[in-house]
Amino acid sequence: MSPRIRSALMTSFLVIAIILLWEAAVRAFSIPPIVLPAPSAIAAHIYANFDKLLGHTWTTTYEIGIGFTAGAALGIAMALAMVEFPALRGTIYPLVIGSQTIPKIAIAPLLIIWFGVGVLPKILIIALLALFPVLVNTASGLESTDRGHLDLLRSVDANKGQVYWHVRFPTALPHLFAGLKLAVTVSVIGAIVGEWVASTRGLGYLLLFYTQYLDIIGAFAVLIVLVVLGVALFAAIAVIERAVSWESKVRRQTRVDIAEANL
Amino acid sequence: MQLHMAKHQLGASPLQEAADASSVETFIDIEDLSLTYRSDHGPVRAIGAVSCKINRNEFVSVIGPSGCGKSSLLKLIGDLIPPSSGSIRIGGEEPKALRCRRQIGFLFQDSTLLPWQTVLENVAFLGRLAGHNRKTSDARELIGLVGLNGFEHAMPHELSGGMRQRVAIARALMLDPVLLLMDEPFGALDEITREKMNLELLRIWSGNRKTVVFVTHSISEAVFLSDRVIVMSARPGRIQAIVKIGLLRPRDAELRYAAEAHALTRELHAHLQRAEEASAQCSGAIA
Repeated sequence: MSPRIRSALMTSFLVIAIILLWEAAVRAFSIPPIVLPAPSAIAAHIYANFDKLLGHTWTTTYEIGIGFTAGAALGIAMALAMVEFPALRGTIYPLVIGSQTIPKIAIAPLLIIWFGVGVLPKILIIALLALFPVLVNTASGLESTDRGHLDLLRSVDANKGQVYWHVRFPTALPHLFAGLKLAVTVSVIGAIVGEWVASTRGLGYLLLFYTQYLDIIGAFAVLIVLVVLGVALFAAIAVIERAVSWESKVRRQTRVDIAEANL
Repeated sequence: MQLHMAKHQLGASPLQEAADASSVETFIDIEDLSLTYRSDHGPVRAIGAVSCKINRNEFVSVIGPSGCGKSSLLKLIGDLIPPSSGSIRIGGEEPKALRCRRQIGFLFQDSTLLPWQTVLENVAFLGRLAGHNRKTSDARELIGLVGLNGFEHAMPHELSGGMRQRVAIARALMLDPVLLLMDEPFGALDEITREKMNLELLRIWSGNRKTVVFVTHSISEAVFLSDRVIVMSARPGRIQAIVKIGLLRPRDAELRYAAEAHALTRELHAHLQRAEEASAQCSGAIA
């Protein structure tokens, strides 16, 4: 059995164990649903309201998709600009770091006032949140390029484009993906925060709606959907990483070597 | 063993040297070269007024105490960094002209292989990048030449340090360079592997004699490989001595233990010691 499948099985067992324990505890201690609903009740709610949940999930996913992509693209572009023009680094970087100290929840109401209750302010909040981890990681990735590789490319008079394509980008790729994974996680938070402030659709809206009516089963159902959405988005990035990043190949191979050595 | 010694003594005979002299043609002409770089503690003079000539198809080693600027000298010859003053001419041209024609092959202490590419890709990529019209079959041939048949699709992290340097040699040869600059290429290898790589390098070099400038801190390596050895002193780097190594080629592993080689090693050692003392006095004077 490969280590990957083994760890996936272990995780599944753990999740099932927690759910069973949860169900048993709720039944054994007769915990009222308003405090902690049983997993079976939550599952029943999800089943009964599947289309409704799907519609709101789509809205949130749509916001995250656009906001995350825009934030990540801007982060990569700014990282490139900073590495290419060191003077820019000195001026922009402090501003970016300064902007990160502003809690996004604090500016969310302002964005709603400026851009209305539609998806645009949510997309902006998500983009702002996703920008920072991508920017920081990509910049440090581009800068960690091996001095020897740069000397080697200079020795054959490689142009700037070739240096980026052959050395800088591949070196930065694992760092970029670390940034993207962080960014996609905070994107989910950004979407929910944006929807909480003012919205008519989305999982954040639905969560607020259920809690206001003390529909705890409904609230838990939304939480479960949020967890699934977050994990799915993270997994999507990981799948892309495995497909394009050389480092995961090297690491995977090494792990296989170790596994074989253990036999 | 008797026979062996006789052969090496023959290598130093006047007849042999006369034959050498007839084919001598200056290839690299270094004049009054100096390099000063800025540091946090003010300007540092890395190389001070170095002049020397290196002949075409000659194998020259540069040894010296650490910090004597021998690596900098190599980078100056290869136009990776510009000199502060003085000039370098390679075949009558600026180093930049050769570099831009991709005729200089570099080897570094670290193999600088791209970890995301296979052996074959690593060897082929530099030639392709340089726009040289060389085929994958050339890359395969060179991989064979450096003794790595069957490892074409291995990744660099699967190879040992010596194997990685073999790949780096094949990659440099892919450029078909007129000049090979080697910066302590075997410095990180263990003694046995290093000796093996020395033999391999001589075998490959004798096949198509390029001009080689080889930086090392191993005296025995310099003696074993070179036609001449340049001894440098430190701070600023200057040429302390140039020693001719008149050992007959082709050379084999036994040569390391020949009396001739021992004598040359001792001579170089003495020069190097004087170089160390000179730099110690120098830095003492500064302090």
